[in-house]
Amino acid sequence: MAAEPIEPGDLVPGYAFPPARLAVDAARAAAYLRATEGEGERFEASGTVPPMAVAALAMAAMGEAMALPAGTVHVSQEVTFHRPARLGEVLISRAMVTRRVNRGKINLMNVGINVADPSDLPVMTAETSFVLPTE
Amino acid sequence: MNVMTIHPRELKPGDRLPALTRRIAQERINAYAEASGDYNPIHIDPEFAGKTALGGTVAHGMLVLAYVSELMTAVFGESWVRGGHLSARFKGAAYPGDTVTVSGTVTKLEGNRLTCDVQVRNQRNEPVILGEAAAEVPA
Repeated sequence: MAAEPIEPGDLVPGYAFPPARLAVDAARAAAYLRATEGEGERFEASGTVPPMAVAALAMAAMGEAMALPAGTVHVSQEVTFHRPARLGEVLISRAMVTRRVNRGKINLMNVGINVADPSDLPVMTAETSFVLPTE
Repeated sequence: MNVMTIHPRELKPGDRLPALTRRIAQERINAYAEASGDYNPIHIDPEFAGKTALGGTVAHGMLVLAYVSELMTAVFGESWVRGGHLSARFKGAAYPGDTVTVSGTVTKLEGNRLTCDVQVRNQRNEPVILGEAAAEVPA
């Protein structure tokens, strides 16, 4: 059974999300290529997936782990690609709250994400920023 | 300029990357939801989204950002997927029916690494994403 999503008030700097398993499976890769339309030929031929597909999986895993309120806006994204992920590969995503600013009308949260292979070699690193609604 | 014929070795500060244009369609947004697992109704439920301040469904920001990565892959090839860096701010929503254009301008060449300002704008020239991308120039 999946764990209860973390509430925004508990997302303080240093909070580490439970590691998430990212399965780079054929169905999801095919859906990704349908959505993005332009990169199929290149990546299908190499047996890898577009680098942003890994970012999408990591973001989804993080999204499932926390209960962000309606009105939360994804305001910025940084990502660094270390190597392409291969179809069928299972990766591990580790995310941690790196910054929280909750002052007046500002309620900002940054989350750092590291995706690695089972040997712990990096595949992708990212930093995501959200603005949460103020009460 | 054909995106497939340009070689990053030929690029220098001030040069523009070839533009990439994509049409936002609800079917593609739905496919992205399936791929990413992000089924937020603001992306896939027109009835729900119509009642929000956005007035309708919008594409996932990460879907539009994927188009930036697509352009960089076309220009830099393997160098992009092994060492490419992208920093982006989401400035506006992309709606089904919109046509977005990804463009980029080289701003810096440091050693073997090229940095480009990148942007995604809709058909009204409104910014959807503004950012910066960098990658090594492949040999």
